[in-house]
This record gives sequence, C-alpha cells and structure tokens, in this order.
Amino acid sequence: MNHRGKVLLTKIGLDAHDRGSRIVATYLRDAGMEVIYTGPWQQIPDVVNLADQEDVDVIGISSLATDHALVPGLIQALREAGLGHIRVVVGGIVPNAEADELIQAGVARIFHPGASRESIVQEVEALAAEARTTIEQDHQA
Amino acid sequence: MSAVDTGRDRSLEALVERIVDGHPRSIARAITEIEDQTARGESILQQLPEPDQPAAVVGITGPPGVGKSTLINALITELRARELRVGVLSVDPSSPVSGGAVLGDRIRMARHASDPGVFIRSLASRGQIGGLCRTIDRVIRLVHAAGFDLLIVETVGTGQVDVAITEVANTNVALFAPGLGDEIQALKAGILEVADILVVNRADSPHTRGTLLELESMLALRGTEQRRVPVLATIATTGEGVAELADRILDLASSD
Repeated sequence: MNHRGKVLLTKIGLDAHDRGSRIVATYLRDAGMEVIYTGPWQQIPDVVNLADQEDVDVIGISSLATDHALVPGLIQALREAGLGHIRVVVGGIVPNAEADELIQAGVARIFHPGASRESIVQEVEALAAEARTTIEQDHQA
Repeated sequence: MSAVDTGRDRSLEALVERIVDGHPRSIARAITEIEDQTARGESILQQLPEPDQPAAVVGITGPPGVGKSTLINALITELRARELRVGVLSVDPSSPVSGGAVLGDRIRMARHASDPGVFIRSLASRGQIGGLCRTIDRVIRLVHAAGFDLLIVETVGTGQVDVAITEVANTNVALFAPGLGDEIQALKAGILEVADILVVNRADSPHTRGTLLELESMLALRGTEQRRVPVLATIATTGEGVAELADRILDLASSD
C-alpha cells in the first residue's frame, strides 16, 4: 500500500469553529489521504503526543478566532519533542500582518479564505512527502 | 518504500530495543512500516523477541454510533485505575472510492492522550472487509512486544457478519444499542454467536430493558455446553456499568 500521507487536523485554543477543518478533512480523504480528526480545544502537549503516536506527516491547525497565535508554541513543542520533521500548516483567518511571523516560526503554509481544494490537496500531499523523506533519511543514518 | 535491510542493521536492532522498552515513537514508526507493508516492517517483526505469554486482546465491536470509542475511553480510565498499561488499536473505514480515510475514534479518548501508560493508534481499514485492516495481527504482535498488559482492538462500525475480530481477539465484546429492531434480530446468526460478552450501551434509553431481555432470552435457548455469556448494561458517557465490564474482561483474559 502506497503511503499517501497522514494528516492530523485539529484545533488548539478556545475557539470552537471547526466546520472549516471538517471540510478540509473530506478534501484530503477524497484525495486518498488518511486524516486523524479531533474536535476543538486540544492542548499543545496532547497534540504533540497524538502526532507522535499516530506518526503523522502534517498537522493542520484550523483557526478562526486568533488560535493561530498559539501555533508558534506548538511548533516549538514539536521540535523539543524531536518531531521537527512534521510540517505544520494553518488554515482560516490569519491577518496578513501576522502571517509573516507564523512563517518565520516555522509554519510551512497558510491557507487563507478562498484557498482552492486543489491547492490544499496538492500542497499538503507535497508536504507529507517531504516529512516522510526526512524520516527515511533518519532510518539510513 | 524503505531500502531492503541486508545483514546486520544496527539502526533496526536499536529500533527493536526501543519498541520492547515501550518507546511510543518507535512503536508508532514501526506500525506505519507494518501498515505500509514495507520490507523494513517485515524485518522489525522478524526481530521481535518471542513473547513470554500470549497477548491479552479484547475486541470491541458493534454498529456505527453504538458507543465503541466512548466505551473504550471509559474502559481505559477503569483499567488505568487498576494500574494496567493499555494499548488501543482503533480501526475506521477507508474510502472505497479514494482510499482515504477520516479517523475519528480518538476524539472520544482525548483525555488519555498524554498518559504514558496508554498508547492509542488509529488504523484505516485499507480495503479489508470484516471490520479490521489486513495488517492487524502484525500490529497486535508489535504492540504486545512493547509490554502492554491489555490490548483493546476496536473494529469499524460493523454489521451482522463482520466477525474478523474473533480471529485476533481472545475476548470479544459486542455492543448493542437499545431499541434497534425487534426480537427476531436476536435470533439471527452472526456476531451474536461468537461474542464472549454482550453489552447494551446507551443504557439510559427507555428501550434498554427490552433489549436486555431479548438478548437474554436468545442466550437461554443455547445448549448448556456453551460458555455462559454475560449481558451487561453500560452508559459509556458516565462510566456506569464499566467497572463490571472491566471485571468480566479481566476474568476472561486471565482464563484464556
């Protein structure tokens, strides 16, 4: 079985608007990916452990009401746990002024409102493949 | 995907050592290799030490929405209170169209995410029928080697004849929802015949008593030589009935 990418879609913080992440979950499923879906209100240490146990390639954080501000903390926690190979993407409402900060913190891609199904699928698939390559290089080392 | 391992592979040996030590990341990576049916996955399985004792595997099966994941969540809490280390393998269906999957069982088990005595992994069925995935027996072997006291395997939402779970689990728990169908359903062949414990979950429903009676009268028609099968009522969301379920599971697991 070919590994098409395993993605964790989740929400951290107090915002409960998860319709966007449900839509993206179906996009990725329909593109042949395996998506671990959690509801909102996850805590960063739990997300790190979940990503670890599920061996995911990409984490997608859905954000409507400022949860994106917590993403740099998530990326830091992933790196500290030795999971720096996992690509993190953010989808939802991210003000342009704050987008650069997120990219600098290590976010691989931000999907703003209007991002097409095709671009989400293609980019997530490519990021998953990158993460997988990193793991395989680890095996060789 | 991975290169074929030739001869002595130090990184592989180290990985197997970490798996046996119960290191979550190593278990997780190895499961991916097994799921993807890679050569490296095969090598890992070959290098696993022979287990001291057979795995205690509890199968949880039942129709979609009956409360399997929620009941497992409550069971984990109960088993952890008894200081048992628990591995959970939850299978959800892969799309017959795209091959993709949305794996959502963990939503119900979120409170155990950071407990080091619990390892939870979602698995997609990847085209396998019968309620499980093709590689489940190998994943069970691996997680067993990592030293968990009890393994819980959750099937996809099943129908009447999805009995693959009985081939990998030594204690089979079948869940029912109150008030589905009439008493003839309880006479039908299939999962009812092979379960070791029957559970009516969502027992806060007014239909609970009727469903319990139907299952009990079905069991009363069985020959006396067959093992007595308990019928329990649980409310997974509150934990009611879960301690008794854990007792029965542990009784059966130790007698097998």
